[in-house]
Amino acid sequence: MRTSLFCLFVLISHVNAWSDSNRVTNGLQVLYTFDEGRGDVVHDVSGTGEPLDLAIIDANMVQWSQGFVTLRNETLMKSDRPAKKLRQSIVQSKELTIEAWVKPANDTQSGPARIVSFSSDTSHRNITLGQNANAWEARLRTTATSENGTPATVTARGTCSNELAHIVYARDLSGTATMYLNSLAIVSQSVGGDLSNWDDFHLLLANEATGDRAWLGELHLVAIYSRALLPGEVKQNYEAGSDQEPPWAESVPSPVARTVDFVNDVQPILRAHCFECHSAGNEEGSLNLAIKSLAMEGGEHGPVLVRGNSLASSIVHLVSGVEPDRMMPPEDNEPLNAEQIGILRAWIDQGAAWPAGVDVLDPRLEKAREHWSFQRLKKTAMPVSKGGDVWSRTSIDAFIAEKLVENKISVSKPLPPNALARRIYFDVIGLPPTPEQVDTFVSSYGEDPIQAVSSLVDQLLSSQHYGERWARHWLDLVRFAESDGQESDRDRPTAFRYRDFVIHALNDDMPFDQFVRWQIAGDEYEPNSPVAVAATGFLTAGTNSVLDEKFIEEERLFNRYNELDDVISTLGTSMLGITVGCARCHDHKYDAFSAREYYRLLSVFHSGDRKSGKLPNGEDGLFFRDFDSSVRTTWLFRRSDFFDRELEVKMGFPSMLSAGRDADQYWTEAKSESQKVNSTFQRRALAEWITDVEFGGGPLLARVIVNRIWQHHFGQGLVRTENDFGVRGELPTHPDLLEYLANDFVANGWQFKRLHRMILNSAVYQQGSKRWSERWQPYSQQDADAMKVDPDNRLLWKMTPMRLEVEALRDAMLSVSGALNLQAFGPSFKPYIPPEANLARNIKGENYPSDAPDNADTRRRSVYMFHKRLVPYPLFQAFDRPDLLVGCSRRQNTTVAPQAMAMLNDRFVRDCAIDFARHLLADGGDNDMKLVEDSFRLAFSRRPSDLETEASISFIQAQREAREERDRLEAPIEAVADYCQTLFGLNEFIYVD
Amino acid sequence: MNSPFPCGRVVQPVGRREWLKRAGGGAGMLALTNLLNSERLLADEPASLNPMAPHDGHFPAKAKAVIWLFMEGAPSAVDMFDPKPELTRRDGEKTDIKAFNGNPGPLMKSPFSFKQYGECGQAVCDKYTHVAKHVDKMAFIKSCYSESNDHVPAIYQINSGLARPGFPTAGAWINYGLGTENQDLPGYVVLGNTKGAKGGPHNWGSGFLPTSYQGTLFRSQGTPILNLNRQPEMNELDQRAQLDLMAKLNDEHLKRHHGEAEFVARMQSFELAFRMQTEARDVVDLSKETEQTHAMYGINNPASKSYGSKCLMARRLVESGVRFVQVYSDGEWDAHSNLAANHTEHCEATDVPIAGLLEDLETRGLLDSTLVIWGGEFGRMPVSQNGNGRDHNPNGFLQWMAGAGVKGGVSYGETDEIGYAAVENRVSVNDLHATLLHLLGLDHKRLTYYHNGRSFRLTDVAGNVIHEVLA
Repeated sequence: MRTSLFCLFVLISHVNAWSDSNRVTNGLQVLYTFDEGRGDVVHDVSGTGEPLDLAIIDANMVQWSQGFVTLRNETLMKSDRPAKKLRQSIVQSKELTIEAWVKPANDTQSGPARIVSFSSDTSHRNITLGQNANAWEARLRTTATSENGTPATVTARGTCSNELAHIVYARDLSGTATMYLNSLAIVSQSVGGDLSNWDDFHLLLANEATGDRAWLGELHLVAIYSRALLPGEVKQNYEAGSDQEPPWAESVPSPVARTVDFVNDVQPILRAHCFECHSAGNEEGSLNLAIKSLAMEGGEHGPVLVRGNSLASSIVHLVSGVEPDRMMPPEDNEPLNAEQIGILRAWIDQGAAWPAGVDVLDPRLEKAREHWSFQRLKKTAMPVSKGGDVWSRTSIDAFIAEKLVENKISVSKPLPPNALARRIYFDVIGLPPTPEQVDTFVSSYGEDPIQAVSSLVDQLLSSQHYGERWARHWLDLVRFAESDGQESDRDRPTAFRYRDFVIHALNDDMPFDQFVRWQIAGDEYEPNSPVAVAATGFLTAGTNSVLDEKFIEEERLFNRYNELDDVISTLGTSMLGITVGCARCHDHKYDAFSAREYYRLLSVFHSGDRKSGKLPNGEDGLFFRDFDSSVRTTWLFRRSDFFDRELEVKMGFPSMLSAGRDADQYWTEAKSESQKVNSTFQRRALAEWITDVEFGGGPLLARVIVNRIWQHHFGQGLVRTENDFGVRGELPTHPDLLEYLANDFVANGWQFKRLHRMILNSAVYQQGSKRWSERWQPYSQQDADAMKVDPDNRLLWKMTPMRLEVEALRDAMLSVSGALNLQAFGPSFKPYIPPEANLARNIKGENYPSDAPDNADTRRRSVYMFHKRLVPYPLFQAFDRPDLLVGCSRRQNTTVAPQAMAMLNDRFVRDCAIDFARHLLADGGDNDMKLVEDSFRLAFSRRPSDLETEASISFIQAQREAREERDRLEAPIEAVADYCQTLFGLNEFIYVD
Repeated sequence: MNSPFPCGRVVQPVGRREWLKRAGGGAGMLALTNLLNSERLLADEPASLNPMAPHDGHFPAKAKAVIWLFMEGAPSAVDMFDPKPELTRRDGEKTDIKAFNGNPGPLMKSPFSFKQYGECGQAVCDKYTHVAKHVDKMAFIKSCYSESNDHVPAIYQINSGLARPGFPTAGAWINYGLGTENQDLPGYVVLGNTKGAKGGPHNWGSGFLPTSYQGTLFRSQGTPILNLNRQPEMNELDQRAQLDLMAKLNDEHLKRHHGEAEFVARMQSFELAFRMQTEARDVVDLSKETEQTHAMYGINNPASKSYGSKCLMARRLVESGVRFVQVYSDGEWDAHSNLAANHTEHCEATDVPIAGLLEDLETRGLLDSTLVIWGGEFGRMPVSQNGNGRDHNPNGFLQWMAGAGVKGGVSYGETDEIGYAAVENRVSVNDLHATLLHLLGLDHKRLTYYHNGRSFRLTDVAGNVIHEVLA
C-alpha cells in the first residue's frame, strides 16, 4: 500500500502557486507560466481554486525551455475538463482580461491562429485571442455578437511580429474592450451585450478544439482575470516581465557560489534524503531520483527538475518547505539544510549535469551489499589480551573482556555454586535441580570449578529434558499450536509429531542446517522417513481457515494467500531475521526485498498445501506436500489484488542474500539429486539456498540462530533486534564475537550443543547478577562506574535475573512437589480449563472438554500440553505465554495482578501446593524446622536463613491452629500447603539469578 | 483492497515506551514510584514503572472513556437506520451481486417501517423506537467498509484493524497510549456475548503489546473475572497470612537484590490482587442500583435483561475509571434467514438498554466524557438469502457514535441507492480507529509499537480522522 503523505507526486500539481508577486493577482482565475520544463501537462499556477491544468495533446510538437514552451509544430493544449468555474466567475463579474506573453513564430499565421481560446469549434466560442497575420484579434461572444464572437476587435496591421510581446485584451462592465500591446492601449471599442449566453467550453491554447487553427511560437505566460485590468495594472504586469521569480524565491536559500559536482555534492544528498521513497522499488509518484533519465523525466505529474532554472524546479520548492504541508522529505524526516539546498540549486542552475555511469539502479541493494549481516561469513580471530583481563577463561570471555577493559569495567564475581547449579539447570533443561544434585555439584565445584561446570553441562545437554526445554523456544518462533485458530479452530490431533521432531532433533544435536532443510522440504529429501516428512509441520503450524467451494471466491483467496503470507513471513522472521511481509503490497521500504521477490518466494509454496494423512510409516500426521510435480502459476498481485493476474513470476530467492547462484541452479540440482517423489522440488531448492553459506542465505541463517541461542542464555541477544537483521535493525554489541561464533558454528557442523558448551563454560555466563549492596550502594568504585558507563548492561558486566517462562514455572511447581510426570513425546494432554475461560463459540469438530481431570496424565511437562488457540490455558495466558498466532522471539515479561490472582486462587496451583506439602510431610514428618529447610532446598536450592526459618515456622504453626479451630480435617496438611503456596508466589521461585 | 499485512512507514525504530516491555505492569499494578521514592530506593530510575498509570495523550482529549456497543453478527443498515426507497421500489429484482454463501436471491425490501426522529430527522425503524429518541446525540457513519466477508476475520478487523488474528485490539492500543484511571480495576473490560466468543479471546487480545493491555472478560453473572474467587478451603485470613509471610520472605530476597524494580512491582501485584477480589466484585454488583435504574436499562424485561445488565455494568465501570468497555450483544444479528424475526429479537434485547445507557450517562454528566459507539463487524446484503434473510456484506455498513466530542444529529457518507456498497465518503476501519483515537487525544500516526522489525500502528499505514462527525 502506498501512502500519499509520503509521495512527492501529489504535490507537484500545486507548486508555484504564486500568491504574491509584482503581478496583479486580484481577480486572477488561471495562470500558466510554462515553467514545467518537460512533460505534457501545463499547470495552472494561479492558486485560485482547483487548478485548471492543460494537457498537451502531442508533446512531441513542443519544445520546453527555461520558463517557456515553443510550439514547433501544430498541436493543442486543452484543459482537463470544461472550464466551468472560469465561465461562472466571468459571467458573474461581467468583466474579463486575457493576458499573454508570446513570441509568434512568424507574422503570417492566421485564421485567426488561436493563442488562447475558450471555444468548441471554429464557429462557437466564448472568447478567443489570436493572431491574424501581423495583427492581433479578439473575438468575444455576447448577447450582442455572434456565436463566433464577431464582429471582432482587431489591432492595426503591423502591430504583431515575431518579437516577444505582451498582449492584453480587457473588457469592462460598460462593454468597452481595450487591447494593450506592451502596456500601451492600441485599440478600444465598445462590444455590447452581456455574457449570459456563454457555455462551458474547454480552455484551449495554441489551437482550436477542432485542431484546424494552429498557432506556432513561444508561450511565456497566459493569464485570465475575471475583471478588466486597469491601464496601470496592465503596465504593472508588463513591467513584471515574462519570466518572474516566484514570490517565495526570497525564502529559499541561495545557490552556493561554486561549481558543484553531481557525484560528490548532489548525489549524497539525494541518497540520504530522497532515495527511500524515490528510487527503484519505491518510486512514489513514479518519481525516481536515482537514475538520470528517470529523474529528468519527473514523476506522474510532470518534471521536478528544470535544467538551468532552480527556482522553476519543483524539487527546490518542495525541499525548501515553502509550504510546510508539502515539505519533502515528509513528516518526521530530517529536512535538507540551507547548504544542501544551495548545492541542489547551484547544480540545477549550472545545468544539472549528471555524468554517465553513476546511476544508482537499486539503492537498497547497494546498501544491502554493504550491510554487515548480509555479508559472507568472515573469519575472525580471537582478540589478543592487552592486559587488564584477569578472569577470562574461554574465547567468548576474551571478546567480552576486550570491551570491558576498553571501558574500564569488569565482570561481576562468580555466582555461588548452588545458585549457579540452579541457573544452569533451569537454563539447559528447564527444571530445578534436586537438593542432592545441588550438593553433588557444590562439592565438585569446590574441588575444580571449571571441571565441575563442564561435567554438569555435558550431563544436562545429554538429558532428554534439554530438548524439551529448548524446543519451546523454537516452537514459539514458529507459532506451533495444535488447532486451526480462526473461527472453527479444529484440533490437529497429529500435529504433535512436529513437536516431537523438534525435541528429538535437539536431543540428537541434529545439525541446524539439516534441521532447517527438513522443515522446509523434508519430504523432498527423505520421502521415506516419517520424521523428515513430519518436520514439514513447520509449514503447517500457522492458523488456517478453509472455506468450501460454495463460499465467495474472494474470501477463499483471501484465506489462501494470507496463509501463504504467514508461511513465508514466519520463515523470513524465524530463520533469516528479516521482515518479508511488507513486500506483499509494495517493495520493502528499507531492505532490498521487492514485491516481485516476495511473490517469487511465495511461489515456492504455491504448488502445495497442508495435508492430514499417513506418514511413510503408516502413522497419521500433519505435513506439507506439493500437489504434484507441476508448478502452479504465481502472479505478482499488485496491491494485494488477488484478481490481478497479469504479471507471472517464477521462483526466486532474495538477491540481497545471494552471491552468484540463482534459484534455477539450485532447482536443477534439487531435481537431479532427488528420488522419485511427486513434487516440484522448489522447496528443496529453497532449503539448499537458505543453508548455503557460500552463495545463499547461509551466513544470515547462522548469525540469526547463533544470536537467538545467545539471547536465551543471556536474556538479550548480541543483536537486540533479534528478528530484524536488516538495515533498520540494531548493530551487534560485539560484532566480532557474533562473527566468530557464527563461523565456529558453521565450521563445526551447525551443532547447538557445541555452542551451548562454549557459552555455559564461559566466565561471563557464570558471573553473578547483582552489583549492589543494600540501599543501592555499589560494592566498589568499579561497580559504580559500570552503572554509569553501561546502565543497560550491554557489555555484560553482570547477569540479569531472569524470570522463568510460565512453562518452566509450572514444571518447577510440579517438580518440587514430586508430582511431575516425565512421560515424554506422543499426543498432548489437555489440562482442565474452567468454564469462565472455556468460552469460544462455534468451534468445529471436538470441543475443548469441560471436565478435563487433573491427574498424572495432565501433570506432564508443559511442552506436552495441548495448546488450543481459541481456548488458551488461563495460567499460561496470565504469564505472557504468546498466543501462537504469529511467531514470538521473545516472551513479554509483564507483572500484572491477574498473575498474582492465579497464584493465589487457581485450583491447579493450590493442588500443587498440597502435593508439595504431602511430599514434605512424608519426608520430614512433623519436624517443622526440617520441613522448612527441605522446602527451601527444593524450591530455591539453598538453606533458609534463621529469620526465614523462624518466619516460616511461625506461619505454619499459626495456620495449623487457625485451621484446627475451623475443624478442618486435614489441618496439618492444609497449613503446610498454605506455606508451600506462599513459596510458589515468591520472587525467588520465579526469578533465577 | 487494503493491505492485509501492514508495513511500517513510521520512522521511530523503538517506541518511547520501549522500556514497558521490560517493566511490565498491569491491570492495576500499584504505581511504584511513590513506594520506591518513599524508601529512597530509586535514584535514577524511570518516573514510573507502571504502564497502566494514566498519562497524557498527544493532545487534549474529548473522551476519557469509551463504551463500544458491539452488535455481533452484523445488523442490517437498510433495515434499521438507512432505509432505501430504491430498494423498496426494486424489490424482487434480480442482480449480479455476489454474496458470501453464494446463491443470493433478488433484491429484498425491508420488512420494517421507518419514521423520522429528532431535529435532524434521522430515520429509524419501528423496532428501535427508544434508541430513536437519542438520534440528535448521534453521528451516523453510513459508508463503512471492510475486507472480509466472514465473521471472525471481520471481528478481528473491526477490533484490531487487520482481518487476521494476533494483532493488538483498539482497547489495548488505547490502554497502551493512555493508561487507566483506576489502578484497582483493569483498564479494558469486555462484557462478552453470553453465548460465547466467536473467534475467542483474540477479539480483545493485546497481540504483540504487553499482556497488561489486553481486555479482561467480565461475566455479567457469577464470578466476574477468572480466579477472583478463593478456593473453598481458603478464607481471607488465610490469604492475608500468606501475603504477610510472602512480604517477609520477599523482603529478605529483595535485600540481596536491591535495584531490581521488577521484584518490588511483583510484590505489589499480590497486594493489589488481594484488594481486587473485593473491588471487582463491588463494581459488578448491580444490586447497589435502584429499581428505577434497573427499569431504565430494561433489566426488568426478560428479553432485554442480559444486555441491560451489561449496559448498566458498563456505566458503573466507566464511572469507576475504566478506560475502555466493550459490550457484546448476545447471540448474533446474523440474519441469514427470517431477518424480520432475528432483528426484532435483537432490537428488543438492545433497544431499551441502549436508550437507558445514553440517558443515564447524560443525566450523570458522563456523556460529555464518554464516547459511545454502536455497530457490527460488517453489514448485510440488499439481496435476500433463503427467501427472507440477508447474507454478509463488508462493502457498505453503518456505525454510529454519540457522546464525548461527537457532533450530534449528523450523517456522514452514503451507500448506493440500494445499500450494497459505500459510495460517498467511504470510511475504512482504519478511519474509524483514527477517529476513535483522535477523540481520546491520541494521534493515530504517532501511537506506535516496535515489533518484529518494524513499528506498528492500530491504523496500519492508513486512516483519516473523520472531522465531519466531530463537534
